[in-house]
Amino acid sequence: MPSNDRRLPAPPPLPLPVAEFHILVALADGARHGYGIMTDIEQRTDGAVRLGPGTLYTALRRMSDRGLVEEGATGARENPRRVNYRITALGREAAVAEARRMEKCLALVRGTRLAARLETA
Amino acid sequence: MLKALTLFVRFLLRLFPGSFRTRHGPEYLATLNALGEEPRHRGIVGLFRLTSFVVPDLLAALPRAWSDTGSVDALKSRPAGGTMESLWQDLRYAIRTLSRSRVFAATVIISLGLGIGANTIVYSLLDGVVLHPFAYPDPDRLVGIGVTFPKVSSDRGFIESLSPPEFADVRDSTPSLERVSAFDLGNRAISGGDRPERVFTAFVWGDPLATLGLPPALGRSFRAAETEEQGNAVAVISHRIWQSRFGADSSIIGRTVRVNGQPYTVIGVMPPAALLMGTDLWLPMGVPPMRVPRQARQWAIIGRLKPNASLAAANADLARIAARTERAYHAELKEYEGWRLEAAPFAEATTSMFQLRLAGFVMQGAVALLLLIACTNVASLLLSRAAKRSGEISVRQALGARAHRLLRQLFTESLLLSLGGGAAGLAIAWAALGPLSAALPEEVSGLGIKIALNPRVLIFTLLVSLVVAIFFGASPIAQVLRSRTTAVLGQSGERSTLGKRGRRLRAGFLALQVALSVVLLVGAGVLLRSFNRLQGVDLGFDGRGVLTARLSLARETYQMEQVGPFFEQLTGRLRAIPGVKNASAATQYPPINNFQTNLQLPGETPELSAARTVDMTNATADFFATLGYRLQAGRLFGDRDTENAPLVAVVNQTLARRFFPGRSPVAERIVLRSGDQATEVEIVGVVADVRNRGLEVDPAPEVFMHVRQQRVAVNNQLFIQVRAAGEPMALLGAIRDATKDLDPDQPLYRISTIEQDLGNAVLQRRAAMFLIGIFAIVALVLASVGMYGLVSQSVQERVKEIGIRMALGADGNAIVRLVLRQILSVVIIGSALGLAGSIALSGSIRALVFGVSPTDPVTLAAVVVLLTVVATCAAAIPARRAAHVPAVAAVRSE
Repeated sequence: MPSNDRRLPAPPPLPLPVAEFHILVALADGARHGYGIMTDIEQRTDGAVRLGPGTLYTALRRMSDRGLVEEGATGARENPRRVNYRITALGREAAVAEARRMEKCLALVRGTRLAARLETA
Repeated sequence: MLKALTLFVRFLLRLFPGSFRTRHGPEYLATLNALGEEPRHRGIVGLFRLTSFVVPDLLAALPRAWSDTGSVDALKSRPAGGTMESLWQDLRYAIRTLSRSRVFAATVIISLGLGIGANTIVYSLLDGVVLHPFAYPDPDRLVGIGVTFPKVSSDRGFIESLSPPEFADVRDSTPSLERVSAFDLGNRAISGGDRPERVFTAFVWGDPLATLGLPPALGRSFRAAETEEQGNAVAVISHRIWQSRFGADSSIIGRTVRVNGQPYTVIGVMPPAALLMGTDLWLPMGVPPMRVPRQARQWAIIGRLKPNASLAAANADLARIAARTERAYHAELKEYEGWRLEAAPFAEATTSMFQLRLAGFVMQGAVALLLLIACTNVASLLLSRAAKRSGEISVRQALGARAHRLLRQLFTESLLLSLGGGAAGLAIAWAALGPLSAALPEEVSGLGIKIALNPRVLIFTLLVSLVVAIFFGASPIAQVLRSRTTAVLGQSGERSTLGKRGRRLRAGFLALQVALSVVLLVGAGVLLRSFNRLQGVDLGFDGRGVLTARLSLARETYQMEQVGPFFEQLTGRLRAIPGVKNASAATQYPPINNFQTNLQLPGETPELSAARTVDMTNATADFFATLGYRLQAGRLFGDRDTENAPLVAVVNQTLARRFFPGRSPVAERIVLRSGDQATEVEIVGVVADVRNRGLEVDPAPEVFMHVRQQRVAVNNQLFIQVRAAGEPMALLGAIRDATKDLDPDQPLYRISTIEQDLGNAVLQRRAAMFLIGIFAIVALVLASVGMYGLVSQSVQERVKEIGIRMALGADGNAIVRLVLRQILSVVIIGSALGLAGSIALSGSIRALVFGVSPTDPVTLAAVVVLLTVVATCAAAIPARRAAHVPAVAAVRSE
């Protein structure tokens, strides 16, 4: 849980922007710094999704303003310019909600004749 | 290389909201660094890849970063499609469109990069050397006082031009100036360390540090009174000598150093930025200025404009002083008639010394032309593109896009391209500036002048990029505006061709390009020819393999009559060194004559001599043999010319011809005058002329006297000349040892070879020629790319016509002629314009040209021939293709 006593903000409206969703997924298993997030997303998607640093940091700022991520302890020991980002409870909630939403979309397609194409693609 | 990208990204980050920058700026740069270290981003291709990944991403993030901040909440509350939103759309759309045609984008960015890069390089040079050479606070209010004596010369002097009473007048009677100080430059041997060292020294009145506006790094600077009283043996040393010689020891304050053998107490260390004309040691003058004669004009005066005073006010004050002085003194001092005092910004006053201003501005003009060429190339590319996209544009119009949105869209694309070009230009400049600043001559780098990409240069580059975007973005926009007819939709079959007007516009661009190339090529050609002429100049002496160095005998230890024997003894020892062919010493040597005297001919009154100055050199007897002067009449100096023997002189041919026309001057008696002193000497010999004032100037009349008989232009600092059998610099150690044997306290300095001196004399010219040459070649390449593009496109557009002609029986050659005629008419019109331009601009390079006219007909003709050949070659490939168009295919192409 976030350690501050700020009122917990409302969950963001869906769908989440693509960049924000991928950032949340990258942070799901542990805190990372910006460059780590970029490489994680690239590897996880086999290079299909590649965030530029500009997109990354504007997204991170928005997400932290909305309480989806928080800035963890800086890795001051090695490099003060490397800020670690952590996913918050709200962030987890949002990522799961987005995944559910996509799952529902998938189910919608599966219920039509498009399903056959889906399998071959 | 990554550094250039980082620099550009830093600049782009400035466009982001401050809150974003402070929060994520350092992180962003760290991430960029990490990206740069990835293997795929290494090397030049990698850098390109990284740039094309990072820069569009950052630009795309820009509108989002702004729309996220509270400061634009007002905008957010607007209905959908507010300004920020649509800007963001434009940007995204532009990025998408451009990334679909990467070759086009790359061509544009590289063309612009070359143009902008050249501009950035030249502007950095101009900024570093001419506009902002010194890191003084408020540099525009720091002024130097220039003086002109129209009776003597029309030149305005700054360094070593004013006398102490004149300084006192300026200091005491200019209400608009404050902190006025004066300095005289010289050399002093400083010891109190491992070995004595000759340092460039300023002798001051007032406190120059206060004038410059800098606090001392350690200790204190002079008090004004201290510099006028006798017996204050105090010194201020430069930061660099404090580090190099005294190991940055902060206990230096209060310590004693020996200057020419005399003890001085160090009271302060200058800050690093304070290199006043490159001086390392400041000493107080130690005498009231009014006690020095008015004619002793070897000081420079600097001051600061008072907070509310203007340069004009200072000049009005100075004009009052000049008028007052003229009234009071012109009876005894004729040079005061009509004299002028003027204040000029310090950077302007000092760098005029190097005459780099002119070359700098000529160069900036040349690169501006180059950029114009690149722009016309890009403009005609965009024009073709706009024609191809007229279909797309009409569709968007039909779907309800408003005209101003379409135009903004097109402009966003231009802007993106030109910013890309700006980034490429910065990268090019960054890569080139390292080697360039390393090649700066020492006279410039010694002043603490640095050449680098600084915020001013970055702003310049950004501005240039913006101007470029407006310039080349405007023409396709105008084209689109004109073709904004609903009819376009209907005739979509011909959507990929330009209208007649478009074609004319493009031919016009090309003609302009040819014209600009002609101007650049003519400039380069004329400079090249001048340089060749200079290299071919007969010096009249043999300067190869001669080492020179200067040695100043301290006045404190050597009487004037000891100077001659000392140098004779020294050159005797130097001659004994193995590998030395000959050695001599003289107060000056070609090509750098500085000392002069007035010459009074037999039977003349002394007054007449005042208007006649000749060069005056005191030399040892071997001077002529060492440098290879040829004797034409009479004799050279010999053993009989001792100190007390009758005074004799050798003169050069120019003097003989000018003042003794039609007869031999040998055995004539002349009087050499300086001030009140008159010395009568007998001419015993005439030597052939040498270029004693430099390559570019005709030999000046010159009188030589033996060092033993020094009476005129007396000097205790002489240059030695050592002719070596092999590499002269290899003898330096032995020469130093021989000097040390004679007197261990006298260091050699200003060590060089005559060849280097000659090289330095033409350095500015060589640099100008080299740079303009490169720019001209780039211009030629850009123009030929443009010509190739024009011809191949017009061939493509005329395929149908060509096919019909062929079907009607025209043969291939006729078609080639048809195509060539079109391009050559453009080249002819462009060349004519270019020649007119060259003639109009010829005045601007006149000062850099030697031995040829700036509108040299041979160069003009060669340039036109060259361009015609290049144009023919560029057009030949598409023209041949046209000749092989099968008639049927051509007709079917519709």
